Amino acid sequence: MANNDTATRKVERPQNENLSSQLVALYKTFRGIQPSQQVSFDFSLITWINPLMLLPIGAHIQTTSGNYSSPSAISSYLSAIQFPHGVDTIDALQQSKTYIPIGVLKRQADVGRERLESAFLHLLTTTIGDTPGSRNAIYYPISELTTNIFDHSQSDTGWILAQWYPNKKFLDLCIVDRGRGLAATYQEELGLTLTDDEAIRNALQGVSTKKERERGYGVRTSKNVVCKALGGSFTLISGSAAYLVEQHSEKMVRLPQFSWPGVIIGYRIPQPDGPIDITPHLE
Amino acid sequence: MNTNNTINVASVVAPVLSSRDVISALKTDIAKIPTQEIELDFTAVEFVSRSAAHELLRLKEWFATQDQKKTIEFTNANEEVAKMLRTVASNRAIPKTPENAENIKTVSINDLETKPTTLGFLRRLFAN
Repeated sequence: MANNDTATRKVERPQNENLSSQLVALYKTFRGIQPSQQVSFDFSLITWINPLMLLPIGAHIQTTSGNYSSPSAISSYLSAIQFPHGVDTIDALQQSKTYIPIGVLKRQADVGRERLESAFLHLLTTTIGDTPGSRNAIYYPISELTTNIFDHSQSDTGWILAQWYPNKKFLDLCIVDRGRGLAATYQEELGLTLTDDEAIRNALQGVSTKKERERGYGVRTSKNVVCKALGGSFTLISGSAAYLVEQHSEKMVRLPQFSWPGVIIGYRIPQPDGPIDITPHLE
Repeated sequence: MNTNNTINVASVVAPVLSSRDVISALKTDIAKIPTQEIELDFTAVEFVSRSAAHELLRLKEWFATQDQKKTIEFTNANEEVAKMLRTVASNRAIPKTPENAENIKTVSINDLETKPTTLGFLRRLFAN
């Protein structure tokens, strides 16, 4: 139940199902909300929802002890994906019959986390159909982007949610952390004072906060596998800025009065229809 | 299963190797083996991320430079895993020049909104 200090916020309905529309709806939903603010999210406008909208709301609820109310239209879906708390064991992950639940990756689980991620990826390829030669392309961005959480964000938890749309033949995926975000990472590790926009550009250029010069490939190569190898769309949000690639056009987006503590990555990929060689995109 | 000088990577870690930090689990196991030549058996490993491949190569180099000079051999890697290890190894030798992200245009969030149309309204109404 909401207490007196809990703000109520209606979850915005995207204008259409494109990633850019989801980004706009996510922005409107979180605009003006402080990272630690307890919120009661109201899903009454929502009749369908994608991972990019849902996972940040779930992560916010979990870390701030917030809550939500939902209409019957999506309540069975929310229940099936174990919203908002997700699952952090292989058994719980595999018990789901209809949808892949929210995966909660914990730093301290160590090898257990790796096994949970393996099980998640297996379930994903089973769900969308394991097109021969395409598994690497599906696995690559997920594995690189989740390892970034534990390498850089200083967050002890990462969230992942995937949704396969069999009629439309595309997969939506979202990976979220509520760590220190890119700008603070560059500040604390390299002493660089950057805006969120500049920090995202640095990450895309491969400016690593680590000493080894061959680090810093994760974000850029993942984006290239999603957009160039698989022909998908991609967004990365950190702080008050977002990077968006849709229909081969890339842009940075200012998000005033919005501040995500950490990183949100969302992407959409069409179902692979044959073998995909990701090697040219790995550099 | 692990044998005297062989570590089965899939059973010690997982069939999919994603994270850098879990490679340290292998480091501990390798250190415990008294022989100088160690085999990392990739049977049942389906995929290795770029980051994990990088960490595996660093692990191999690190043990080669320690007093015991342990030699680590990667065996039974499937074609994709072998390709990833080779890609990362070659990039360690000659890194590529990164892309320039400075010229990406910045827009307002309002620029992403499409103007409402009757057709759009009907699509939303009947969506899913």
